[in-house]
Amino acid sequence: MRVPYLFLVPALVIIFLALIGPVFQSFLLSLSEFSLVNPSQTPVGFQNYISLLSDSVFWRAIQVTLLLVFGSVFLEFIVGIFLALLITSSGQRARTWFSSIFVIPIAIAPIVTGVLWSPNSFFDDLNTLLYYGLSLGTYIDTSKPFTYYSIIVLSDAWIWAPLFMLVTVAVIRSIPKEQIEAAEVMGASSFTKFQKITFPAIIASPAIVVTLLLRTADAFRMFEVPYSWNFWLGQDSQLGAPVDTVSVLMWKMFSSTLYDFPIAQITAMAILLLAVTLTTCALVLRRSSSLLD
Amino acid sequence: MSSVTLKKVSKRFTNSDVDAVSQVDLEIENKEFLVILGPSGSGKSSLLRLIAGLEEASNGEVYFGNDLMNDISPRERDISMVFQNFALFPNMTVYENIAFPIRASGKDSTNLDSEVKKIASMLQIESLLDRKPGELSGGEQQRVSLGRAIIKKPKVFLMDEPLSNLDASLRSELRTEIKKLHEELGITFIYVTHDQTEAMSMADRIALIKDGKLLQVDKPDVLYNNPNHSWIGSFLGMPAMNLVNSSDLGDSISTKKGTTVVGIRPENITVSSGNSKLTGSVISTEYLGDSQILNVKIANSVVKVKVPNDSKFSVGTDVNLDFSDGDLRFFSDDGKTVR
Repeated sequence: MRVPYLFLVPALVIIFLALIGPVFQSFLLSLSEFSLVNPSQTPVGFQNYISLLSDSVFWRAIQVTLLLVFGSVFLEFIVGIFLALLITSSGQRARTWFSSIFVIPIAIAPIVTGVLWSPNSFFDDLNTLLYYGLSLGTYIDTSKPFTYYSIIVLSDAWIWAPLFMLVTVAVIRSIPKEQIEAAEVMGASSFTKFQKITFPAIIASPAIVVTLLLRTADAFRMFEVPYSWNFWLGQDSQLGAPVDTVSVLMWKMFSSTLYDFPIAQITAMAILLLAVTLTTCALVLRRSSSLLD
Repeated sequence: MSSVTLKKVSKRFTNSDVDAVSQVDLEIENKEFLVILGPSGSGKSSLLRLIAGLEEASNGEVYFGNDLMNDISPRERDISMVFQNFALFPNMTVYENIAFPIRASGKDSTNLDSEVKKIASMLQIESLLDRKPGELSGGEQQRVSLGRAIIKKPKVFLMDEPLSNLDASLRSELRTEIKKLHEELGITFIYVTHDQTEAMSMADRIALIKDGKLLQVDKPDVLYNNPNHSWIGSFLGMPAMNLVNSSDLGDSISTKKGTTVVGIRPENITVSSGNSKLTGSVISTEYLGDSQILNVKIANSVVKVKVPNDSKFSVGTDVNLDFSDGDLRFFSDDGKTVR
């Protein structure tokens, strides 16, 4: 009776060595004082966590991360649906063109996208055009928090909307044609058909829920786009001073390494990031499965 | 409530070199129950979809009453449709599904609640109103779909093989109910099926379609007894009409001029001990419960004969067959009836 479990052993060993072990070890490490300069591990209890949680920069980073995660995942979901509707309602030839063009952003390295959308490339030119070229006497002030948060969210959505588009196209295609036809015959307008049939089908689709989850988890690791903004927003940050404006958690971890290498503190942060990510994903999952009922 | 008239309607799909529906002329009277019957791939569903406006005619005109419908969208044609796979909206309850046509088309919804409940009780689904379609059986789903179709009291009620996904006992139950519904509503019904029992039992008239062409439009008994094409004889009836080359019959039977094929229904032939028009040997028997079929070989043809279920015939014995000349049907080379 126990024999079948024997066959699981190799897989379990690998999972333990590659996944559970390191996480557990990181957790132990985060409870100690450890420096690469002085490689001895002394337990300090929750000291690292306490100092992190009392650090306003850390809280700021959490806020910024949550704002960017929810902003961009929501936006790319909505934009993805629009693109999918455009593709599924257009003709064969246009459909091929649209889908090839729309997918391009996924293939571009996020750091390139970040730089492309950052003030010193695109907005520099746009503002020159607005201010001097068109003599409008106005320009987009990218140093305003609302503006730069919007642009960062927008550029991340620009990267990932095509993913939602591809999944949504598949979901729309899987809606039985007769349902749409029935609605049409019963007198429903195009908008009613979308509102009552297509959209509920998208929301209820497990494929969409999984994509939302993956993207949410992945967005917490957002780094390149905010990174490409950091150096512009506060020039001093290059010296290692924390830029709390667009500092996401990943940036906070990264920038901590600029002075020395406080591995234990960074590990504590990583564990907290993991906790935040898992909690959020659990909430997203619960929310979406309640939608399914 | 409206008559439906098709004038030389054709439909050819892109990437196809044959007409799915070809030159169809059809007049459906107001309040009529017309069944479009044909084998699969005959174009019967395409024909229905042309009437619904879900397909655009390549040629010809569709009229409701005196109004040309070709450029009117399905949602403005004032029709209802029931689909083979029910096509209920999975995210809505039964109640919302039935109420959908009124809410979606922005019609007056003051009495909506009582309307929905009235229809639900008519179709015996009152207890299911709060359920979602996924929790219902096939028969219940099709009842909901019928309810959703009748609530807006359309001019024309279209049904595309509504019973094909249901099991046999449910089919006969719903057949009776659809027939009753037609009498109560007084709406023009157009019903597509490949099942001749459905067609025969429900239709005022049957339009028989094959390869996109209408072969005959007539009352069920006329279609059964006087088909204008040998193919109709072989399509209708279980078992179908016997079609025998006239050369196999010898001189014992007088045929009309131009006849190459003679048809007779198995139930119109008797095995007799006295008079005999034809003699052949039994090559096999099929027991059908209420009756029995003898396969009798005559020259190069096999003739099916329907005999009482308690008669005993052993394979290999010779039998004498008798029939009345009035039951013979004559067909020419191209399958048309010789009159």
